[in-house]
This record gives sequence, C-alpha cells and structure tokens, in this order.
Amino acid sequence: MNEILDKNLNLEIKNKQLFNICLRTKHLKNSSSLETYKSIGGYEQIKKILKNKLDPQQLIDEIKISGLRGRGGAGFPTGIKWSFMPRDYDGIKYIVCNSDEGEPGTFKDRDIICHNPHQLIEGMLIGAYIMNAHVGYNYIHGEIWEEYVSFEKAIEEARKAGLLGKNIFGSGFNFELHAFHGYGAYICGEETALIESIEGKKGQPRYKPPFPATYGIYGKPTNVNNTETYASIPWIIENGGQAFMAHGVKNSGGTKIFSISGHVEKPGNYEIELGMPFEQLLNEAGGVWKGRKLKAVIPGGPSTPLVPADIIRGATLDYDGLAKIGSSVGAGSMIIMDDTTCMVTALKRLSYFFYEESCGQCTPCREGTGWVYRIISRIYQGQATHEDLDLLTDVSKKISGRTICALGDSAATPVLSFIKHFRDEFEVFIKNGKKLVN
Amino acid sequence: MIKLKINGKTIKVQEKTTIIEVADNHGIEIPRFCYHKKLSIAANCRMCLVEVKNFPKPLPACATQVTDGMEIFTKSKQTKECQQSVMEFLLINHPLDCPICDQGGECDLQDTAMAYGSPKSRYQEEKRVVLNKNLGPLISTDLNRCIQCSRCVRFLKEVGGMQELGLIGRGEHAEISAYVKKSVESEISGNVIDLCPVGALTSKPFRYSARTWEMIRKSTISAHDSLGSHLEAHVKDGNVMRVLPKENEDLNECWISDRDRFSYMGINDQNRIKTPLIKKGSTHEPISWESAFQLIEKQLHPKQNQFKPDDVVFFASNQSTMEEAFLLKKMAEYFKSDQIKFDAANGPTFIKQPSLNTQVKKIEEFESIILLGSQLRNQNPLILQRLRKMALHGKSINVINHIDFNLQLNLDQKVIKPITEFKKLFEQILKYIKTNFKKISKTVEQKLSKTISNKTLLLIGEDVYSHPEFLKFAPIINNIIDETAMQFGCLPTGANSVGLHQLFSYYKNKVEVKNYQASLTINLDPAFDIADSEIHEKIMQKSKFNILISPFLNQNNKHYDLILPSVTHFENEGSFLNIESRLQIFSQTIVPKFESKPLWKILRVMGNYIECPDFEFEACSQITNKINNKIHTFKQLNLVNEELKNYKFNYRLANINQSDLLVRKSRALQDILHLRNEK
Amino acid sequence: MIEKLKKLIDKEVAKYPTDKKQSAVIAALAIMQHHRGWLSQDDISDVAVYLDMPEIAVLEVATFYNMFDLKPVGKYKLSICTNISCMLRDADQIVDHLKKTLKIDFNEISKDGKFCLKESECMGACEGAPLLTVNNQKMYEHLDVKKVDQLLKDLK
Ligand SMILES: Cc1cc2nc3c(=O)[nH]c(=O)nc-3n(C[C@H](O)[C@H](O)[C@H](O)COP(=O)(O)O)c2cc1C
Ligand code: SF4
Ligand code: FES
Repeated sequence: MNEILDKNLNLEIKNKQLFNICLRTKHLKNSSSLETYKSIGGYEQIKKILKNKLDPQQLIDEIKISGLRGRGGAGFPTGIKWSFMPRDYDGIKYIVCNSDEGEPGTFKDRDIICHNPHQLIEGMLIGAYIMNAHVGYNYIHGEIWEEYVSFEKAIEEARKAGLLGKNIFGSGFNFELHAFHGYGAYICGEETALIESIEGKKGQPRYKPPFPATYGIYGKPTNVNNTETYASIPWIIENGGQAFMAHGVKNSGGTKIFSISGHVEKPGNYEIELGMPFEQLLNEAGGVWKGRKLKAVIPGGPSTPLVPADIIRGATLDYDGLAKIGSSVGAGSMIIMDDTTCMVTALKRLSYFFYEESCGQCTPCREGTGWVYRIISRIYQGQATHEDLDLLTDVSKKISGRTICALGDSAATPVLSFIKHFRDEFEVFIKNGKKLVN
Repeated sequence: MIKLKINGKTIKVQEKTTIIEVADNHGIEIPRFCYHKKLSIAANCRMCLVEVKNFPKPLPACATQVTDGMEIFTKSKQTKECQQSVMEFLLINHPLDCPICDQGGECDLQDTAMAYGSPKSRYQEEKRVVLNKNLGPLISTDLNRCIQCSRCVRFLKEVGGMQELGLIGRGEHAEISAYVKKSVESEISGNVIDLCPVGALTSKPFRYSARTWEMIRKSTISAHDSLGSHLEAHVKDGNVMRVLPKENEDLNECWISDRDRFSYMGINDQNRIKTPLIKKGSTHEPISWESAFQLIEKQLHPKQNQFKPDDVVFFASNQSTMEEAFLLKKMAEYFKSDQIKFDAANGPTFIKQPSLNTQVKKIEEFESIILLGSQLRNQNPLILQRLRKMALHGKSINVINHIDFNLQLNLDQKVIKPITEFKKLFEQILKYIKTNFKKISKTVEQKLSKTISNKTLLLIGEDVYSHPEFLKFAPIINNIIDETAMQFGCLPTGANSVGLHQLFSYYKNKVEVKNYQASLTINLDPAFDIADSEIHEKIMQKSKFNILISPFLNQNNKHYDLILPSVTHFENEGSFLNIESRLQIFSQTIVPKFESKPLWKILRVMGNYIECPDFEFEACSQITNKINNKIHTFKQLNLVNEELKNYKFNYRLANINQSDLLVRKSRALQDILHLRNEK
Repeated sequence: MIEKLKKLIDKEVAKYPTDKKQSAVIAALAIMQHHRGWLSQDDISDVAVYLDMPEIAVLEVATFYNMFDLKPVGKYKLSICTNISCMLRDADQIVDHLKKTLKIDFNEISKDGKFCLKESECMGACEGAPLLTVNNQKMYEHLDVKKVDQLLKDLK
C-alpha cells in the first residue's frame, strides 16, 4: 500500500474538473444500449481478460493501485475487499451489486443503471472473473421500477450477445446475472440485510463476523459492492490503475459521482475528479437557488455529518478533505440548504426517516430512533425543555456504536451534527415554540 | 486452548467459544435476553455488550468469539454504561405492571433491571400498545411486554421444526404473531413460555393461579414417553399448579413436550374415582377400602377358590412402574398365570429387549440416521428434536416408513412403502453395500446404501418391531450390520416399556380369549390403550369377577364388579427404566386425592389379603431395592423365536394428546385436539 | 392462483437455485399485489403454498417492506416522497394540495375510491424533487401544483 500512497504524493489538488467514467455514455444517444456501450469500447476489457486469461491477482493489484474505494458509503478499498474472497473455495460463490440506494439524497446508481448499464455489467463480469464467481445479482431500489425494467432489458441484451451465460467469448467462463427488485426498505442497502432479502426474508442485518466473503447468500462466499464501484472497474482495467488514481488525489483515487439535491439551481449527478473544491462543484450545479445564501451542507447523505456553510467553503471533496472538516464522502449525496432552512424541521424529518426505517431487531436502534424522533417532535411543538436537548444528545450517543449494523450510527449522526452547529435554533424553538428562520 | 484475560484474571479457554460461554463457565455474570445456549445467535438485544481492549466499540458477548490475548471487562465503566442504556431503552416501551404480571418474581427483565438498570426513566412519551393474539389453548400473550428478543420465533423454527411465530412489521412496530387466526401447533410449543424472558408469553392454564413464591418445587420424571424427561412440579395447597422442565443435558436438555407440561390438568378431572366402588345392578356404589379388600379376599384367595393355572388375567399399562410391575409379576406367579399383557397400542414386540441401545445424547454423534417406521413426533418429540438439530448441522436424516408422517425436519431420503415391501428394500440396500457401491446414485436404495456406515444409527419404531413382517426382514438388517458396522436402536414408547421388557418376557404378551375366574384391568382404558380392544371386551363378558384399578372411570365400566381408585403419576412414587435403560426414581409430588391410593400399595394390601408370599413391603423403595436391572446393549437385533409369527397386527396411529389416561383428561391438551379436528 | 401470475412468478423463481424458491417471495408478492392492487390474506397464503414457505414467513416479508399494501388502496396509489431533498423543494405544498383536492389524509382513500395517498421515504430520484409514484411503478418528477392537477385529471 505504501508504494501506492507514494505515487499519489505529487498529485495536484487544484484544477479538478467534471470527468465522466461511470456516466461515460449518459450524454450519448440511446445511452443504455449495448451498441452505444460498444461504440466507446465496451466489453473489450472483459474480452481481453478472458482471451488472455489474465492473472486475477494482477488485476486486483491494478485495482489497488487505482485507489478505488467503495462508493456505497463506507469507502472501503475495493482491491483489498476482492482479495478477501476465498479463491480456492470450490463451491458456489456469489457477487452482488448494491443498487439499493435509499439514503436520502442519493440517486447516482439510478443514472448508471439507466444510462450505462452495460458498463456495470462488464464491471461485474470482471469482478466475477477475478473472484471466480459464476452467479451475480443486482439488487435494485424498490421505488425505481422503470429502471429495474430497463436493467432487465440490458441483461437480456447482453445474454443474447453471449456476454452473459455460458462460455463467454469462448473462454469456458460462465457468469449469469439477475436483477432483484427491492420493495421499499432502506435497510436493505446494508449488505447483510440485502443478502437476507435476496434469501427471501425480512431485510434484517446479520451480525458480523462472519462477513459476506465467508458467509453470504445461502451461506456461500459473497462479495457486495456498490453500483458505482463495479462501474468504475472497466475504465480502470482499460486505462490502468495509475490513470484512475491520477483523476483523484491522495487516498481518494479517481472520479466520484456527487448527487446534488436540495436548494440548488441544477440538481443532478455530477461526476467529479475527487479533490475538487466544494465551491467549484456548487458552481457547476448552478449555485444556491433563487440567489439565496448557503446555510449548510450534508456532503454525503444524512449518515454523514452536516457542515455549516463557512466550514465547507474551503473544503475539497475527497475522503481526507471531508474528514478534515468533520464529515465524510459517504455515498456522495450532497444536500444543499439555503438560509431559509429550518434546522429543527429538517432534523425532525431525518429522524423520522431513521425511526421509520429501523429494521427493529436491535434494542438501541428500535427503541432509540423512536425516542429521538419524539423528543424532536416535542421540541418542534414547543413542549420541550432545555434538558431535552441534552437528553437528545445523550440518547443519540447511546444508540451509536451499539447496534448490529451502522444504521444506528447513521441515525445519531444528524442529531449530533445539527445540534452541534445549530444549537441556537433548537433553543429558540424550545423557548418560543417557533422557527428562528422563516 | 488459548489464553485471555477477563476482568484482569488470566484464564485458559477452548478456541471457538464465545465470550458469554467463557463467562458462564467461569461464573462471571453477563446479563442477556436474546441469547439462549440452545438457539441460534441473534445478538439483537444488546444487553450483553462488554468492553474489550483495543476495540473502539463494545462487543456483544453472545456473538463474539474469543481470541488469543483478548482482554474483556464485564464490569468496567463502559460496560456498565452500555448495560444501563440498553436497559433504559428496553423499559421505555415495557409496561410497569410487575405486580399483576405472571412472570413477576421470575422475570429476567425485572431481575436485570434491578441489577443493571437505573431507577429513573427519562422517557415521557406514551408507551407502545400491541394487541394480544390468540395462540391457542396453551399460550397466553401480553404483547405490550414483549422485548422482541425473538427467542420464541427461533425456538419454533429451529427446535420445533416449523416457523409458526414471526415478528411482523418492522422497527418499533414489530410484533410477535402467528399467521392470521392460526394457533401454535408444535407438540413442544410450551417451551416458548419458559424461553420468553418477560411475561409476554405465559401459560394459559396457569394464568393468575399462583405467584411463584407461593409454590413448592418438587422434582419428578415424565410418565408420558420413554425418554423420561426431568420435570419440576410446582405445588400449592396440595395441587400441582404447573409443570416445568428440569434441565438435564442427557435427556430432555432444557425442553419438555406439551404433554409433559400440561398433563397435570387431568389430576382433578370429574371422572376421577373418589372411593372404591362396587357394582350394584347397572350402576356402581361406593364402599370402603376395607370391604373392597374383603371382597377381593373372597373372590381371589386361592384357598377359597379352586383356580387352575391361567385362571386370572391381567391387563396393565406400559406406564406401570418397576415396583408395580414387580408386584404384579409376583401375584401372577402366585396364581400360576401367564396371562398378562402390558402392551399399549401395538400388541407384542418381536425384539427381545428393545431399547435405544445407546445413550440419548450420543444419538447426535452419529453422522446419519435411518428412522424406520416410527411416529416419532407423536411418540417421542424430544428425540425428534435431536434429529432436527442434527439436520440443522448438516447431518443426514433418512426415513423409511409405511405412512408419510410430517416430521418437520429436512430429510435427506424418504421411502414410503407398505411394510410388506420392506424386505425387498433391505435386500436391495444390502446388495449395493456388498458390491461396495460408490457410483452416482439414482434410486433411493442406492442413495441409502451410500449413507450407511459405522457412523449410522438405525432407529426402529415400535410400530415396525411389533409387526410380524419384521421377522422377515430383520435378518437382512443383521446382514447389513455385519457388512457396515452400522448400529441400531429401538424406540419403545411407554414410560416403562424397557423396564417391563426386562421384568417380563414382553413378547409373550398375549392373552387367550377364554373363561377366566377373574380379571384385573389396571391403569388403562381398553378403548384407547389396548391394540385389540375387542379381545378385552370378550374376556370381560366371559370372566367371572372383573376388577378395574384406575384413577379414572373408563368409557365403558359396565363389566367391572369392583372399581378401585389408584393415583395419577403426580401422586405416585416408584421408578421407570427409560429408553436408554436408565433407572429413574421419582417420589410423590402431591398427596393422593380423595381416597385413592398408589397402585403399589393397593397391590401390596391385596397380596396380604390373599396371602401372597413375600408381600411385606413397608415402603416403595424396599421394592425398588429388590429390582436389579441390568443394562444390555446388543450388536445385532435379537429376535424372539417365531412363536408369534401369525399374530394379527393392529396398527394404531399414535396421538400425542391421547397417549394415556392422564393426558386424555387434560383439558388444554384436549382443546388442541378439537382445534385440529375442526380444520 | 391465476396461470398468468404463476408464469410471472416462475420467471422470478428461475433466478435462484432450485431449492431456494423462497428468494422469489418479494417478487411473487409484488406480482400478486400488482394484479389486485393490494395483498389480500389469500394472496399471501397462495404465495406461501406456491413457494413452499410457512405462511407466517411470507407475512413477515409482506409487512416488512413498505411498498406492500395489506389493505385496499383504491385505483391509484399515489406515494409521495417527503424526505429531505423533496422537503427542501417544497414537497409539503404538493402534499397539502393533494390532501385538499382529494379531501383525504395520508393512508386514506378518496370518496370515489380512486385515489389513496401515501407518505413515502426517499425514492432515490431526488434530482426530480418533488416527486411521486403511481401504483409503485410510474414516477412523476419536478412536480408543481399545476402538474399535479393535470396528473389527477389524466388518471381516469
Ligand atoms: C443502513 C445502511 C444502508 C446502506 N445503504 C447502501 C446503499 O443503498 N447502497 C450501497 O451501495 N451501500 C449501502 N450501504 C453500505 C453497504 O453495507 C456496503 O458497505 C456497500 O454496499 C459495499 O459496497 P462498496 O464497498 O462498493 O461501497 C449501507 C449501509 C448501511 C449501514
Ligand atoms: S441498527 Fe437498526 S437497522 Fe441495524 S440491525 Fe439494528 S435495529 Fe436493525
Ligand atoms: S444476549 Fe447478546 S445481544 Fe442479546
């Protein structure tokens, strides 16, 4: 790894730009078709790999060099994750693509499925080859039915073209891919809940260890990655890990899609070179809407801490850059709030979300998220006291770090960061029972 | 072995154990709700969180395996703070109704809250309200109290073999439920009452009848199957209020069947015989014990009656204790009678001494099981439970039977054929074994022959070894045993079937239909408990003097000249030889009801009146001491000689809730039967 | 169960190993729901039988995933997202307008039996906020009061 780090040292932070890797075909006509993908060199990488029977270890090394980190939120280095899959295991193994994006403000995987499904399929094919898995599933968020249907079409197209199924490119390599349509449960984005869901159960996370790499679907070794992660792979193989790394900064290789929503002029997906200054991206998105002033930003989705305007202004958008200001990249779901935003109202809605979506198996999350929501509601209704603010913080802290999955932590994050930065708004509400802003 | 530190003390422990197991083995207390050593690990209650050095977050002790050099703190500030907060979370939605809760005084939540909770709750909002569900006649719900530990769900799925309960809904709204309007039907469902750490699932029959501290706990042994589960009867004012399992890893582990748990409800049934009764015309009238015995002396004393050999006939139940059977045997010898019958459902057996031939807990050490002709679920549910456990661990369980029973377990192979075809089946299996069959198997015979090895246990049900056809294929099974060193065991059903086989030549178990001078029907109702009840009826019609000794009146009592009240199991003392030939002695849990007397005492006094020699026993234990049981194990099926080969076989479907007198009188157990019949 | 639905379910079942039919339970329930508009108890029992599962396990699934409806929802179920990104773009106004126009609250069915309004969590399409879906399948984005009125008119 050190070697890899050294290579990044001289990367420039400035002059980052929009650069499409995962969304390469989005601007093209018939973006989702096999033809379009082939026109930009699609499926050439898997062809090359299969024809030359490239060494999986070398491919993993290339991915390690690229600095690609999981785009699902946790940012775990993908190359390392893939090396966890037991190569010599001689039973069935699975690879799973996590397109369940349910984190509020996240809508990037939808664009990939919609506009560049074949790059995702190729990415999964490469993953399957490297990890020697022969069956894969793509778990697609329940609320986006049309995208599910169109992905099924893409699979069908690939299958017909001999890119999925048996003996791909005459290499003897088999890989079958299926789409799985979720049905409304944010928790199924958590990888072990997703696995339970694929097994036809409630989506309740499993206690880890064992990790999916040893005990996944039906108890078989399983690798789970985010859509954007898989979709980055073909480009990395084509251009080399170094080239990918060069689009980012140290510790944050490559490009990353930021889904920008909320109070901006042009909400949408922006694939940026990691390390881009926040202001630049905000400009790309047309700035704060209606000419208003920026109040605060949730940089990576509600499970990443909220940051007030003046703190995020100087920050760069990469794993270290956001860590430095006490937040993180998460899934890149950037929520912009202008100066008319009431923080109590916003937090109330977010805590309702976590309360609604808690799977209910572990005590602190099941009981705590409801309690938190009720306290905030009490504040909102002007029926709270100042002690309640401390209670709120305390309860959140007692959920965090004590649950089976990270939803508990996520639920605590907005509470703690909102109160940390906007305590006065909560106090005014307590005192006057109304908003500080209007 | 690895070394670790727990609360500063260095200890050596087995690898692959969890923190909670280590703590339990070393007497270190870690509170828990969802964890149960016999169930899969859910790690959902978070009560067992402990601080471990070098881990930023506290770890659940129930789900974390120990590693070399680990340092665990079960009493540190962080651990305590976790415990307190989880306790607080659990209590925010738990009603504070301990004073009216049946679980009060034996509630894990109550105890844990005292020990680990904080006295004041900071929760001001309203508590969650959950509607109660009707889960049938045994289990009562108070779901506001549920803490979603999922023990009951996991129990029914993993041990009961069928998911009958679920947590429906999600998040805070998740609630325990059976499927719409369904009740729980597992034959071991009552265990969820014990498993529930709070008062959300309680015993319906026991409801509100006593507080824990008012009851005296008495140990006893189950009388309803040959396993002989260890039980604890809770007694108040001379009545059994409820029955709970007593943990015993060798036999019942920590479970009992519903039959064991709820049979006590029959003790005070209205059909209970209160005093001795004598026949007067078409009815019976009470008489004193004294006059009853005088009558017996008159009718049965050999000196006053001219008895020929085999002039007195005995029908007794396979629940008879060793002591009762011993006295009966002496009495029969005194009358020079060979006419004595102990079988319950299926008539005589063709194996000389059927028993498990190994220990119950050792069943699980085998790699594969072949279950031959048993109605296990209705006969020995806790042995079936062990097979389920084996199946969960990936072992191969196979069934050969003539009726397709749903055992609610994952079978490897299943063959359902008429018994008359078993011979051919075993011949084929033997053929494949002899040719060292290894190829891809297509037919069941091929597949079965592949599974058989010296790690295989063949379990033979009573239904099969009571069938004359058995004599035809048993020699082939012996050949298979020779070839493979497979082991075998039998599954006798009655509480003392094994003991009775040892005391008597059980297989001779046959009575002739002829004119007897006297008959004794003891602790059974022929309508249910005798394979060929017509024989009994014919004999009654012809026999001169008929005695019934039983706690309850039978369906038909018109032939009995004298009826004597004996006691139910809970009022009785004695011993059973269980399925693994273990002598299990039990004493009275309550004093006999009304004027009833334990059977051994009735026989003893009877013996005295009719001058049976050597009948001077003061205490039951004196008889026990005389019995000297030997435990045999057999390498081969040892069959009876063929004298019974023309016996007419009467196949009976076993019904777990109709297995014996007491069970048939238990209201709750009968309600389940009705529920099932309605469907 | 209707033949046509069986065929659809079989297609889903085929995605999994032969002894893992249960994996298709969510899809099967969705297919049943789409047919009737909601999931009746019979639907749930039918799926249980068809996939060889305990009924309660199917019920667990049907009550866990938000998009299943165990009660009738009228002809058109309008699920509107009120989560943060939509909220910031005034989803609440759309909600108010819908409630007023249809004279119903969340989880109620309009008098004519046509519409049911559901509050939904983030649909993963915040680019088009505020937005709603009709009967779990068709999404309408960038809503404003005028667009909503047109939509209600179009849904016959
Ligand atoms: C509550 C919760 C929700 C999650 N939702 C998603 C999701 O929608 N999509 C996703 O890719 N990862 C999600 N994750 C992260 C996954 O568990 C997992 O880490 C990820 O799919 C791994 O892929 P990656 O390494 O490519 O990021 C979620 C995690 C938690 C705790
Ligand atoms: S943290 Fe919440 S969502 Fe995650 S397992 Fe626990 S209860 Fe379920
Ligand atoms: S006992 Fe460990 S989490 Fe419940």
